[in-house]
Amino acid sequence: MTNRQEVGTAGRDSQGGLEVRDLRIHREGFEIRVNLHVRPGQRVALLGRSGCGKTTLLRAIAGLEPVHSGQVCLVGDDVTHLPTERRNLGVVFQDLALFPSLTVEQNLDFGLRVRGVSRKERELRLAPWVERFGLKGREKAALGYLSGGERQRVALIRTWVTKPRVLLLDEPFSALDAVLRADFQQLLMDLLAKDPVPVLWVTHDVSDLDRFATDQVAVRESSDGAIREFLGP
Amino acid sequence: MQKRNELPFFVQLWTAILVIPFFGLLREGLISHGSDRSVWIALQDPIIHSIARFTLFQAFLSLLVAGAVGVPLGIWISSAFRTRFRRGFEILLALPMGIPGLVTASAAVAWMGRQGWLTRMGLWPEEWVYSLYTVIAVHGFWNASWIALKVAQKQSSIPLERIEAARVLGANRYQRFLWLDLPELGTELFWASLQVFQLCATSFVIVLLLGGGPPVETLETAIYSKVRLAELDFPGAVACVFLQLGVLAIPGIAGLFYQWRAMLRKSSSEAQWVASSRGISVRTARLGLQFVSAVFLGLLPWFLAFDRQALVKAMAWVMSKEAADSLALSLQLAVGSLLLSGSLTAFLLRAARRLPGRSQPWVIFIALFPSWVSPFILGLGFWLVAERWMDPFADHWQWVILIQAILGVPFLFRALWPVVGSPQLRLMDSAQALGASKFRAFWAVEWPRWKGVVATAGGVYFFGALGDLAAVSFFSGGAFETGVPLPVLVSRMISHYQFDEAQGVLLVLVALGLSSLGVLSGVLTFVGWVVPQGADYLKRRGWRR
Repeated sequence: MTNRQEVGTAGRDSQGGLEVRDLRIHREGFEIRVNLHVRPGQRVALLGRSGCGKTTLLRAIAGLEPVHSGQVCLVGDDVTHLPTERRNLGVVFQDLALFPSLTVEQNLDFGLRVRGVSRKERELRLAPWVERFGLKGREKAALGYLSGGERQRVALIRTWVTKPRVLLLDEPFSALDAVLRADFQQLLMDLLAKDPVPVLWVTHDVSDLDRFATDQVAVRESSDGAIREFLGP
Repeated sequence: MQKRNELPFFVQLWTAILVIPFFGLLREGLISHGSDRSVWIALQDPIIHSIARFTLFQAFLSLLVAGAVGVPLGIWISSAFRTRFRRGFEILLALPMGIPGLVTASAAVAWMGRQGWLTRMGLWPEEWVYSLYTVIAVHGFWNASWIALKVAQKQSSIPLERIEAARVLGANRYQRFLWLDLPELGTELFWASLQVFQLCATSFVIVLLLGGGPPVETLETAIYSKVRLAELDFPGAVACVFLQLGVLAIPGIAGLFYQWRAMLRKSSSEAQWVASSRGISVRTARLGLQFVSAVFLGLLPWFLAFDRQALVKAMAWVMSKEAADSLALSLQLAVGSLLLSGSLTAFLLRAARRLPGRSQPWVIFIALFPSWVSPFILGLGFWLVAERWMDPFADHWQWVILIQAILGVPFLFRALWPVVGSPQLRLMDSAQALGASKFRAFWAVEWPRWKGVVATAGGVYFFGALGDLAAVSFFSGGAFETGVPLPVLVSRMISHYQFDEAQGVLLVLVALGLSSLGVLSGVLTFVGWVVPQGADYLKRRGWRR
């Protein structure tokens, strides 16, 4: 744990978390309205039926989806009009979105590389994570040689080493079997226990709630389905 | 059992067809006829060496020009490939590959000839007219759209989630291109460049018509002149063939191996709008601009080059007896080539799809093999082997069809394999689970995917075959019993400085070629509708189980 500061909390503000104020997202046939505040250490689950706008909300917070009005604040900074690449947040996509043309190591240090971190520094920062997540010796391998669980871990480390101000998880456990799912949740909780960033995650599976969620937000739909609201913890 | 033996036999037959001309060429190279000039002596001829060097030089420069235009345009246009207009863009950018060299050369004369628009406006120096510069400019521009197409297809097949993940991790546009797009584009770019290099190295009509004669002479035009124009010089022609094969062999074989590896790799290309915070008007304007670029690169220059006078002369010519004969003969040759090439490709596709994993790359390899030989290499090879039955001066049009068909196989195979080689097994299973027969499931699941690609590839190939000058001029003795094929007629007109008449005839050829796309598309749609209906009818009547 000597590298705790380097790979974990350094540079992160423990106050503020993620705040979404009066956010409105227009989609064909309906509007999504959001008001929520996720504090550091909170793991808020977004619940709702398929197509209700959970993933759209995550994407809007990440800046990948245009918003009509409202504000997205990270650690007190208004990032609503900031391009995605400058928001400094972490997203683990449902299909992981790993880069097949890069090796495991290149995938892991991608975020650091684009931030201009030197090669030596990158190796130093990644080493403890590679060791801890059981990827030692697989650094030069192509992604095709990794198992599903290993790929999931690569996606998580890749995001985590960039020290994101908030973690957005889009159904991160859906592709895992029960054993891997429990392992992965434990791994995530260990990380978050030492470095409590706000977490917003999408899930369909209520069995994950007891184990992983500290709070939950369920979508409320108007009778005609034209307005879908996510209201806070 | 019969089914199992059928496919390897066809693969062997195809291999034998390819081996025959090479056997003839090799025999000519090894056997001395007792004359002073053997192939071995011709191979040491410094003039032939300089022609080979020039061929390499011009092909390389042409590739550079094509890449300089095609790569940035392909990257820029790739976002349009994620829209519902993808197919239209693909057709536009693929069309120049089907536009016959004769049409391109004629259009280039209208742009960059002595009286060309650009020359008159002072934008194309007069000393560059009919020179290496014109050849390179035309080769570059003609092939840029192919490179742009390949780059755009590959770029747009990169899943959006991957691009978004890179953005989330902090990568800007430049970093994303450098570290994510470029490694993926590399393979595609490599073999698209290789194809362009091969096309430029074996280019015949453009060099012949726009080069202005020696010293702008490539191995391809040298082969032609040694067997058709001057006194017959077989050893010289065969020496040129060997050097031509040498020029193309190493990159060709490397490229073919690279290509089938790339083909086996699956890529997703789901069309969807690019998520953007910009408004719909900005996106529409961008799409419009991209469309104009694709039209300009793909089609417009060939039409802009034709003026009204040519149109009037074309209409007058169409009414003549000579026109009817020429049209009929050219259509026969093109339809025959399309049918034969289509059948050969269909057998090879079937073999590649059915054979086990290890044999599949071999079938793909030999299907694509003719892409690095030219009509003259095949023509000369067949001539040397079958001189008893074929006389290139006696208008044996069956040989034209055979050569055009063999050369068409790699094009059709390349176009169709990505679709045919990746069957939608899950959907087929699903259709069968719902009660459809395998036959009916094919028409419901696979045919809608195949139809567009088959129509486009077939139409583009037909257009190319209709206007191909190399094969028809190799076998034309000037006395085709039923008329003169259109390309030969046009080249004669051009050599007699009848440019307006030539352009008029070419207009007819272009119109025929382009309409074939629509006709084929319509025919295939009709087939897709009528076959399942017919099958259902037969089933209802109890004639088919």
